Amino acid sequence: MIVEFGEDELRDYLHGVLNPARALALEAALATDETLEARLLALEPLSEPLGRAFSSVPDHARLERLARELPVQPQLSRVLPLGLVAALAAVIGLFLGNLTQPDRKLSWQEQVAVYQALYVAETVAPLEPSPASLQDQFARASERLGLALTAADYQEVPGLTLKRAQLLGFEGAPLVQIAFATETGAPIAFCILKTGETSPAIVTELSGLPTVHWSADGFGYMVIGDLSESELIRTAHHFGAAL
Amino acid sequence: MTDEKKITQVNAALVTALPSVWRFALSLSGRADAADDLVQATALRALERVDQITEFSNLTPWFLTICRSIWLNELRAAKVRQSQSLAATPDIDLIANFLDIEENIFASEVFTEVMSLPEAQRAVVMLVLIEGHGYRAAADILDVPLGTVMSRLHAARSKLRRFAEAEDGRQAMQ
Repeated sequence: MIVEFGEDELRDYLHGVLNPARALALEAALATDETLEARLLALEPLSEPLGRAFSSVPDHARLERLARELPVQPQLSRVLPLGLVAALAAVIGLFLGNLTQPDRKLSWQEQVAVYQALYVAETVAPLEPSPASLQDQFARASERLGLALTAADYQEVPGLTLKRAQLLGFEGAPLVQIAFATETGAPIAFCILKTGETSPAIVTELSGLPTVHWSADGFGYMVIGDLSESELIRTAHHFGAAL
Repeated sequence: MTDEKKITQVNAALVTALPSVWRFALSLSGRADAADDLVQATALRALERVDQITEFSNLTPWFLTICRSIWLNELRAAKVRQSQSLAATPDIDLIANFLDIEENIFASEVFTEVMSLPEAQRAVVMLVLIEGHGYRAAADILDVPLGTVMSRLHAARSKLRRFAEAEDGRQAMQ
């Protein structure tokens, strides 16, 4: 039997004032009702202040050290050839550094960074797409990439306002740029390229912009823009979870 | 998928999940240094168990489950022995340096209050209210019944309620 709960009852529950019988019924219903769970979570008044207080925990220095100390090499040596161990260790070594090699072809991430570096606040500020327009942009991007993307997944990103999903290309492969503005108006982009590569996440700086990029399951991903490193990683994690 | 590719995937996921895993480790251990150890142990165990993974799309809950298991089964007793107790010892240095001084003070109060909760409540608060996992996902990660998650949250909310009220006031002023 489905038991219905109104929004006032859900708020009362979260404030601890719902009558005990209804509170018990609500908790019982949560075991099977995903919609009810989502509604209750959405009304949670503590998520915002608590999330904000912990948003920069752990701090940049600790995160950097933790990433460097991740136990990659000893474990890999058990199952991987030594050459590959060295290669992956080098990738981890570059975790927060700059990759600079003159006179070579730009990677797709570097090419995107060059493009993104031209963005200023005024580039994204005027973009105020209608829901229908966004839906259309995401539908076209999904079709070209062969990857399900929906605007709704990118409209609730903490601290970012969704501005546009546009189709670009890199060496004949579809490349999608999903553009956002931060609360201060700074342009941020989440880019997806169809690629056969697989690589771990690397946090770096490209064209002067903080960047994290990784690839998995046939797609390369990249978050770039003027965010602190912890915000950048948190945002990348958010996007990764939405995929 | 080859072991090599699985390890690469897990490495990538570990890097992006680091902040979440560390915060959860902090909520379990109550101490920053213990959280560091717990994160490293979690990463090591995850890499040892890549062959158990069948779905790579969201590994964070799996990392958190490993983290909880290592804490309860291996590290907790040792850390309690070291510090005699696991009473809350909020590490003020951990708190973010927000530009807005009022925001800084507010964040410090929230942080201290959350870290002062009993370990069991702290872990649930971290998973549901801060990391945004659902109630059932939190129950799975902590390996406790859903009812236990709800009762721990209920107890924690009553201690943290003033922050929700402060948030309401803040939004009303904006």
